[in-house]
Amino acid sequence: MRSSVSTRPARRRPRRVGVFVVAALMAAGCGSSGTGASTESTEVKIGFVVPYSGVVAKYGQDANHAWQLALEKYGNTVNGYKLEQVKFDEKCQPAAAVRAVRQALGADVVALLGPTCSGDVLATLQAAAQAKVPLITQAYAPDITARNSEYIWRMPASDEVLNANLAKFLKAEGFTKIGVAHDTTGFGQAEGQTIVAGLKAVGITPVANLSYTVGATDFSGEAQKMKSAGADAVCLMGYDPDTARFAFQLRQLGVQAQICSNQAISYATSLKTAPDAVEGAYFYAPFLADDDRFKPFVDAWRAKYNETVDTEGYMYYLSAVTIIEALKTIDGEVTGEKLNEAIGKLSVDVQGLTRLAFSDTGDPKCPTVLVGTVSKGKPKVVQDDSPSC
Amino acid sequence: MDLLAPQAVLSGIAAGSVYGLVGVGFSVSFRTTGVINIATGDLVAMGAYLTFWGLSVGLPLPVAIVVAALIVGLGMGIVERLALRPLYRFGTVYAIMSTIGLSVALQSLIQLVWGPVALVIPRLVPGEAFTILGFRLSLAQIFNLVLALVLILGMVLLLERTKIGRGMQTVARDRELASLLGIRPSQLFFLAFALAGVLAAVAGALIGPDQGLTPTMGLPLGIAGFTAAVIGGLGSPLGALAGGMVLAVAQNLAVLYLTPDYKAALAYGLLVLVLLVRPQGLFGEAGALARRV
Repeated sequence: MRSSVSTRPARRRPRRVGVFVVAALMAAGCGSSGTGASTESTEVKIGFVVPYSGVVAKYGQDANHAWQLALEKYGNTVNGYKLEQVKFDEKCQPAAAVRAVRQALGADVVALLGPTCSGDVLATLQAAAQAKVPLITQAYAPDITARNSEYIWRMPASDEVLNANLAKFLKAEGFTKIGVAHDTTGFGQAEGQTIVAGLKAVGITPVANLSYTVGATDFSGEAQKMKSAGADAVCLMGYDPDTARFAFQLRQLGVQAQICSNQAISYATSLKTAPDAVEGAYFYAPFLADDDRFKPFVDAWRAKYNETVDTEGYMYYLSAVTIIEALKTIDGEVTGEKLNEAIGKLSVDVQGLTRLAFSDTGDPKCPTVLVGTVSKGKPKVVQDDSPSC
Repeated sequence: MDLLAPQAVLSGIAAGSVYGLVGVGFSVSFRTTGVINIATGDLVAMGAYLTFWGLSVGLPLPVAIVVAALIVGLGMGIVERLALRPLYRFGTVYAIMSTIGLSVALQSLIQLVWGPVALVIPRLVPGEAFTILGFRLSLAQIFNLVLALVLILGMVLLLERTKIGRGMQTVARDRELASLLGIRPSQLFFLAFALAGVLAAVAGALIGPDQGLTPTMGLPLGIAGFTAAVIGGLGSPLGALAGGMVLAVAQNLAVLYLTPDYKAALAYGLLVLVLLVRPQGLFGEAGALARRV
């Protein structure tokens, strides 16, 4: 029922009203895509703060797919708690992520699944900790777990670990003149810093270290800089398909250096965008569908969604399982604090995929650490350096 | 001989031609209506996605590109008629703000229809590079450059040598006078936005194979195209082409001789410098901007 009713005769302002309505609808569309209203006391709200729009909007789709797959496996009611997914769009932009996390916390979620982009996590860590709500991230920047927050849990190994391993591999393969290019996002900068640190740790000083803007269309200047540096390997650290586009423009300029990268260069988007340029590329991977241990999961994903799951899909699945397994151990009312404590105590085998257990910093104790390559258009495992758990 | 700088210039000219094509889209609609269409970059994306759609329903690539360009052109003309024109009487700034909404709406529409996963369209000509006189070039780069030149020169001829083009100029200068001369501004407004849509869509089909199709692919292209149009002179198609090339070459040289960190800053710095020193741009008509503000 409305609180007030105008007695004035209606005046026609269709165009202005129309514009305001459109603006209001768009503003609503740019913000939360869910509501926090709860109807049952046994419902537990999980805030999905992931990119549903923007350059990595695919992550949002992966998160939803992973959640549905996890619910199929574990059911949508765990230990008497009915799980409710509430979606918020982080857009892979720190400012949007801060807004999204505030909205999620305001909606009384007991856990945040995401943010996923490193810069967004760094911008929202403190808010989650202050609200005593666990933040379960799929991001890689080492800083994320180095800020003494008790409420942060990371699914993959940090890029410090993954890039140090890749650097060792490149050294063992005989590369000595390595160029690095990274994008300017929080993720890209951490990638750049950690691969440079990893290379220096094995005695290699990069012959070039460049940055580029995410989503850039023309890399010919950067590619020429690599050419002039005489690099025998070029590590491209950023989001897909930028890295593939960069690799393509390197080849166009006649640079035949070995391409090295993160797992993004093995994603379908990269393989489709520049198949010849990424063929033979080496990359680090915290997950590879080609690895036998992941086969049941990969098959289940393919059966449900008719696509090959990539790293983000796997990390979202692990995130969902982390919340579900922690909920299984809780008695009484679920709060963020209790759930956080339960996550810290987890030590669970996830269907043979990995063991879910976390160090004091919130990093995984048993991460998958692989080096892969693109062979005949498909990502393959070259070396498995995962710690035994 | 060190070919680094000449190669950077050559690569920049090739990349800049596509920026120029996008910039012409800004110029044509601005020239006639005074509206800067912020959604131009998203029209580029829409052109690429509709080309993908054309291929998926079995059209040959050249036909798919033409169909995509016509759909985007017609669609943009209709949007101008229904959503922008009613706002002109309040001032062009309202129409410009409306194109911001159009930009977001187009990105959302693309994501809704085709999803967030990147798609790929094939090239019209092979993308493999070859060496000629020590320079690396691909047929695709040459083709893009030639096609952009042909389209932009065609646009110049249309605007400078035909009744329609002269009508657009008259409308831009004085709408009341144009009406007295028997010119129907409404038809020319529609046509200007439709032409801008066609050019943007073709740019999308040209850059799509290298870029990969994502809902947000138009954003950086829109910024580059707008910068190109301003540097060259808003309203001048040849200026937009030159502006695109100046921008891309300057960025490549900055990467080579300064640092890549300054690449984006250089683009905006160049924009500010041109506006300060020559507000009408390299090829713009003096006073053209002042008449609209």
